[in-house]
Amino acid sequence: MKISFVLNGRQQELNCSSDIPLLQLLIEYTHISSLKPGCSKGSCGNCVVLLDNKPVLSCLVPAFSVRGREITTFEHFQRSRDFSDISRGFTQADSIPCRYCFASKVMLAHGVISRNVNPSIEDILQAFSLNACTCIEPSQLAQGVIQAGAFRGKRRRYARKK
Amino acid sequence: MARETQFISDIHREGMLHGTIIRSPVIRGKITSVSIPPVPKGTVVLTAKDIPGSNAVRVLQSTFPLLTQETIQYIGQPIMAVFSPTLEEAQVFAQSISIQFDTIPPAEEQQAIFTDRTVSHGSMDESLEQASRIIEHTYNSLEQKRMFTAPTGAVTAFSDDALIIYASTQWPFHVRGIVNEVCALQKRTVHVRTTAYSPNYGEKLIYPSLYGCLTTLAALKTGKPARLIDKFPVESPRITITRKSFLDEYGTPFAEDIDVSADIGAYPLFADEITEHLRAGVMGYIPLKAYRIRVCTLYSPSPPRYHFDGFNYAAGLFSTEAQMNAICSEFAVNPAQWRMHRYTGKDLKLSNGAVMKTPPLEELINYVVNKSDFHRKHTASKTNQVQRKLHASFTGYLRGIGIASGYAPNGFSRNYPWEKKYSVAVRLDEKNKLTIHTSLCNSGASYTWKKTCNQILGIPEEDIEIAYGDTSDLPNSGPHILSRDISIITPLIQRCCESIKSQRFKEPLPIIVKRGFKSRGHEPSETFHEFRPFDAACWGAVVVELEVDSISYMPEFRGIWCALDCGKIFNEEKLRNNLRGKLLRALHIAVGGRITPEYMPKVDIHFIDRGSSIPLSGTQVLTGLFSAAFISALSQALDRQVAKQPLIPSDILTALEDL
Repeated sequence: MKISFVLNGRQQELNCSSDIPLLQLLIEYTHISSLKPGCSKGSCGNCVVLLDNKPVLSCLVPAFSVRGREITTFEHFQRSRDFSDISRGFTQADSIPCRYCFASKVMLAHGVISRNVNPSIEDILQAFSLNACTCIEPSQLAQGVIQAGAFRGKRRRYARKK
Repeated sequence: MARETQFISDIHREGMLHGTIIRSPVIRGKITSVSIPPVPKGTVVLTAKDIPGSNAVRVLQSTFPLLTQETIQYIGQPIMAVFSPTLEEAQVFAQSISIQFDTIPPAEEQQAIFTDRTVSHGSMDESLEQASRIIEHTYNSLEQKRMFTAPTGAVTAFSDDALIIYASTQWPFHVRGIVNEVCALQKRTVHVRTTAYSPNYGEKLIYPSLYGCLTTLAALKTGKPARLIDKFPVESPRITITRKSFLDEYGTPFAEDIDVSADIGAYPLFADEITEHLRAGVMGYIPLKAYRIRVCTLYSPSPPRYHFDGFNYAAGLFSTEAQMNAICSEFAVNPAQWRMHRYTGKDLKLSNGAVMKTPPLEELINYVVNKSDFHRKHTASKTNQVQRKLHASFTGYLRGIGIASGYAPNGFSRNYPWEKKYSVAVRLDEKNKLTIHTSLCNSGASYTWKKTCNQILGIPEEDIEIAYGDTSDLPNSGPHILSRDISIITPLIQRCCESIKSQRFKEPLPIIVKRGFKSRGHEPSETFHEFRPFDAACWGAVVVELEVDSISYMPEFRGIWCALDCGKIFNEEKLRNNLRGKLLRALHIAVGGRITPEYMPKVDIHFIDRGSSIPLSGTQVLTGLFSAAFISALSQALDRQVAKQPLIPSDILTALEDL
């Protein structure tokens, strides 16, 4: 079947099998390398992408359901100013995840602070329960996300003033 | 925040073949027939007959077959490998291959013993007669399933006159050695480049060598690059420790009879090291008049085990400390005070009579006890236990607090002949830039290494780099396990820098200094009575306070307090964060599953500074002590001795029903 969608800001039309998950579509047809195929059943949480700016586990999303929607992967996201908020927040709180889960944790952090730039620790931990990598202690990670939220809030206020 | 290093799954080459392994579906058996349909163009099938060299993957003194030809030793044993232009094609073709087996019942072989070593001292019969009381418990550390980690695999590609193997390995020179032996190649024609492999739980120690052999065989056969990424589940060993403590009338143990058995899978990989680490772990700090320690490594029809943060020293330490707490519980004494009475003094005698110079136990225990308010909470929980006994209907408020203290070793237990080869090199170039050359270039210890160089030579950290390369241009620094990157490689780098410092401004640049490592070493069984464990030891004390939720039967941690002597520390906050991550993994294992946010405890990690010049890894000591303190706290909360890990809510419910 033909699936057309926007991937990292570019219109894509791919001819693929109808029963594959989005993860497989992105890896095999577009060679996205930030996605780490681990369990392929939603347990490891290392395949997070933004679907219409919301983080989802791409292994659980059927490829056909992304028709007409917008997908952003870490490759594109890391060039945005939104990423720099998260990068600065993580660095300032010294809570940098391991290289394997880094991309997914950044996307999850973006999901949290997009909803609320002052997230509670419970909100953060709830969002990060999607990712099973235990490379970093959750409370420390939460501090990084809170810092990232503060940077995002500051940037938004500055933009509004302008 | 640079993430430039690639994982094995990120490596693609033009025309690359993708591989899959055909594994045994039976536990034990013999292959009677193999039927392979016509092989499509571009696909290659590898069997044991295609191996030009030796069909054996060598690990220290033992070996296991790369592809089995006839006998099946465990479920999932590799029989063949299929490589095709796409992974899907390889998997579809692999399914079309039919293999017939004659199965052998596994029970016949289950009790086979790989190694059986006993050390003893004094008379156990006399101890039996003199004992006022004997306390016996069996501690089980069940197998832990591998958590989600970076992919394990290998890619073989061609480069001019050499083969380049990209492998997610903790031991690149092992991959090179094994590929040479299996594929009958010259050493200089194979270069191994390590890809990113973190996080890992020790499963990348030997498996990448196996995959490297298969991809190289496929590449040599087809002339195309080949990749194999495997997700075969492996588990850690199952350890059972039975301890019989002979006590005098004051509750002081004066003799111990300890039986340890470790189920290490179908092949005796690292059997000697496991034996040594377990033996050191079960040895307490109370001098004994008599002891007998028997350690067996057992066969089971399961894949070669992986090793979570070391060779099971933590399981031994867990049993030692949990047994001490069980003794304190039996004699209704405060375990912190009981320890303090026995640990005071400058030098500490271990159970085998060897002396450890000035361990900082008193300071460590004092810190965690004061910080956690241990004495008050322990008494309150004891009172609560009595209340529960008096009023049977009073079932809530299952709260307990536990303490554990001890040391854990860094590095291998002894000197292996090939260890002399391990080295690192440091190069100071004409532009005053320093480069560290080591095959452990993937290590998280690079921060410590840079700081070490910076302190000795005064070169800014941005001018210090870790050389990334392959086995042709990096020195062999050995396997990346047992915290060797911190406790062994760092002192070597330190020595290199000191040598450069003495030559600097006298000799022309570049200055290149290479230093090798030689383990202190010992012959384990013969000199066990003088045996001081390993090359370095990290001391620690841990207190865990918890309450069992009366609805979910999950232990809710109210607090964890840790004090450690990690030697020289360059950045306390960084180390604290790192150890918090390690503790989280230990906690994850202890409760047998995923930690959800509501169970996350507050963790206080404190370091003591004794002016040491060498950094030490606190991972093993933290893991072992946490398990022991956790079990002790849970035993107090449930008012019965719990002696296994991991513990799941149904175990707690069973313990409560037995009350």
